[in-house]
Amino acid sequence: MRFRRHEQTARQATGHLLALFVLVLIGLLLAVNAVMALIYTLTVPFVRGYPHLFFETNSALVLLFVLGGCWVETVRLREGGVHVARMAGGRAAQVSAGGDLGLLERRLANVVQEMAIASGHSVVPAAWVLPKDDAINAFAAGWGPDDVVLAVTRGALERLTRAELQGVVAHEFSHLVHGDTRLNMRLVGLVWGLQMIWGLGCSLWDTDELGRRRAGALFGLGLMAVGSLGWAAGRLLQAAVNRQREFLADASAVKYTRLVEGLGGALRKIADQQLHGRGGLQSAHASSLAHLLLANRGSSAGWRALWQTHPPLGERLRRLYGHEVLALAADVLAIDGEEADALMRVAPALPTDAAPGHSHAPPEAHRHDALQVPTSFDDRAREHDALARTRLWHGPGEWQAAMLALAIDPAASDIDMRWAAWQAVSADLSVAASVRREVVALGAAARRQVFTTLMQRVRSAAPAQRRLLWRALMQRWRQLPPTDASQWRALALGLLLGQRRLSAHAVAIATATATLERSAAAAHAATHQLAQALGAAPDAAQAWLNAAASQLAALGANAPRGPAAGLAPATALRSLQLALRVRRIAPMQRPLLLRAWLLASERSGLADHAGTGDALHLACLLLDLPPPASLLSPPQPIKQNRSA
Amino acid sequence: MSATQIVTWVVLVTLALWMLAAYNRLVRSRNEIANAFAQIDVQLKRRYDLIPNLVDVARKYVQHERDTLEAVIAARNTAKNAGAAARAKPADAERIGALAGAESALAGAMKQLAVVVEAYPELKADATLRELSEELGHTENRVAFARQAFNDNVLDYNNTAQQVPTNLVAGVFGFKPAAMLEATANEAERSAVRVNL
Repeated sequence: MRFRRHEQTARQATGHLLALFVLVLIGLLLAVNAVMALIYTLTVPFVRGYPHLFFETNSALVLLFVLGGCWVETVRLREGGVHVARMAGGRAAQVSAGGDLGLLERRLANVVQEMAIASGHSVVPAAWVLPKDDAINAFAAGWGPDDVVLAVTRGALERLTRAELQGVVAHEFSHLVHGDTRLNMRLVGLVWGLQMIWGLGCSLWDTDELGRRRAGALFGLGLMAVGSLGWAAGRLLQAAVNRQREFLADASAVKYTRLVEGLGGALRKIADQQLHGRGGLQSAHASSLAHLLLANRGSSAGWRALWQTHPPLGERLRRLYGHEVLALAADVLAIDGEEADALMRVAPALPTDAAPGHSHAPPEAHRHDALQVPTSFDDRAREHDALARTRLWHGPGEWQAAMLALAIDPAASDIDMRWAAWQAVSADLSVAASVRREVVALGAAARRQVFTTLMQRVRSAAPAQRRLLWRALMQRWRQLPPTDASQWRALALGLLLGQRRLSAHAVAIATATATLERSAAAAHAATHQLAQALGAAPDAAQAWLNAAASQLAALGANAPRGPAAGLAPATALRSLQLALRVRRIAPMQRPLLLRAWLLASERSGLADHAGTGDALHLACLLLDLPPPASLLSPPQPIKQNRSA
Repeated sequence: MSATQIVTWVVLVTLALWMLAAYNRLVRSRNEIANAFAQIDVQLKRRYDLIPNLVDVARKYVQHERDTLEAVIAARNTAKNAGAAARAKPADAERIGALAGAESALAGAMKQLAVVVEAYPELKADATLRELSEELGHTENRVAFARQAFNDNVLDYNNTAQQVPTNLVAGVFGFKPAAMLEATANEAERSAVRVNL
């Protein structure tokens, strides 16, 4: 049970170092007082004794600087984990994405959950990926339970085995469980406070505009001397504490995984990357993240090693294994022998030497050239196959084609004509054709499922990419007839892409409101019953009733009747405002509103109608609610027994 | 009040405070054990829920191997029922034994399924199945880690409850040493469900 001993050693060492830190503070206090007294005696030689409250003022000043500095710095650093991860160029792991990377990211999310169980940590952090970084590294950041992020580089996902990834994640979990981020921030704050004493000394010592020194210049010199000593001691101690916490995290990672080869293998691969000079992170903020990372490159010899936030890799490996080990080649791994084989079957053109920064899935065109027509004739099996293939879509061309294909009503009589209309402007004909083939095979529920996934992915795409996608889509969208109920999706897309110019979608919004309006009367009754069922707290029920009633009134009663095509511009704008109002409902009330809608659609007998399902589905997306399973699973749409 | 009295009072109050702290530490640590045990149960249940999905995917391709699939489902149902029975009365050795037997039968059936899958290349290529196999491995890990966390918690608790001087408090308030989870009741169970897809 070596890891338990290592864990204890590291804990004790941290304790000693923290005690030393307190000693440094006390020493600083004494030194400042001594220096001040000395200078006072030298500069004012004829007065016996010291002014009233001389020592008290000095001590209070020092404490104010150190503790105040600590507080200010902590507040400044108190940015959430999401902020830190985004600063490092990360994004949330796409659990539902397809392809190689999708599987790897799902594996990461799974491993994070496993480690939460193993470490007994009640908070499961959000799994994030740094897609631009090929170097193996990871960090955990964040304060509150809602805000903890565990980010792993793409290199780590591709180059580590599952066990090694587990070790890396376990190491980061140890930092979370033991509150190391918090400890480090406190120490950074304290050191900053010590630095401020030096700064105060500097400002006292500085000459004024005429080159004369002030009366207190000598005091400044004294403060500079004491402050610089204190600062150096603080920095050294902080680095030493950090190094001990790394050892502790290594030992705990072994405790959580009960496997030395996990974290050990990962560190050996990092050693390999550093040997070949590929260990650095891409982000411009990498240096400010240094103390958070799994491993940080630094000199390991002599005086400079004392300033490093991380112990040398060799030493960490020696403690893990109990003896010297060699670096391990950090090659990109095939997901699994057989899994890669399976991928090859779908896409023979798998590139072997993908450049860093690119995913290893084959390019769109290759994939679609190679796509085979499904062999099965059963409708459900065909739908299933198509659904599986849609998970592989992740190129911008596929996104565009998929969005447009999803918008076309497969039951429409002129579907081929519509298709041809926009296919004419599509550059990637083979991609578009194959995407369409898949989409046509999907039922209404499955289409909604694909749409949800695409939406999630589009939302986490880079802003520039989103703008491009948006422009391309709008260009082609105008060729669709405006009466189409599925134009609702244009609205959702616009809102989700965060584009402000929504006037182009007034018609779509109006169509959607009209769809919901048909069931508005039933919804009123349902809302009332729901409010009564919630009736334990009459105030809450009444508040909810008012909110829901105003919503339904907005969506139903005021919406234009009849076909939406001939709307007056003013009405269209009005319905635009109404649709936007949906986004302003308080998060707590959103599920209730959704339930009211579900109830209403069920009672009015519209539940089986595909248009209603689409409208509800988009309402969910707009409200940031997970769509109910009944909308996404192929069996009958809404058939829940929700008696109030 | 004389100096002796003051000293006596200080000592008594310190002692009382220490006892309070020790008692609270023991309670916290015991509750963590209960929580860890509940986790294991959750993870086992998750595994039972996952197996039908796997079989559904396999069924699409291997129509002729109905027997194997039925055997997996039957074994899973038996294990699930045995689990429910054991949950109702965890101290009953007979029920725990039944659960262990059912689990090993399930492991055997899953192995058989793995062999079948080997023979069907188009099944191995199924994207959903690939995801499911990751999911199954993930579930196995969760079960294992939940057990491990339970044992770690028991170790911490026992260390606290048996070390001097906390053992005095533990003795007075009846904190009995907890038992580690014997993960393996028999040889067959020692091999976890393994699907090499």
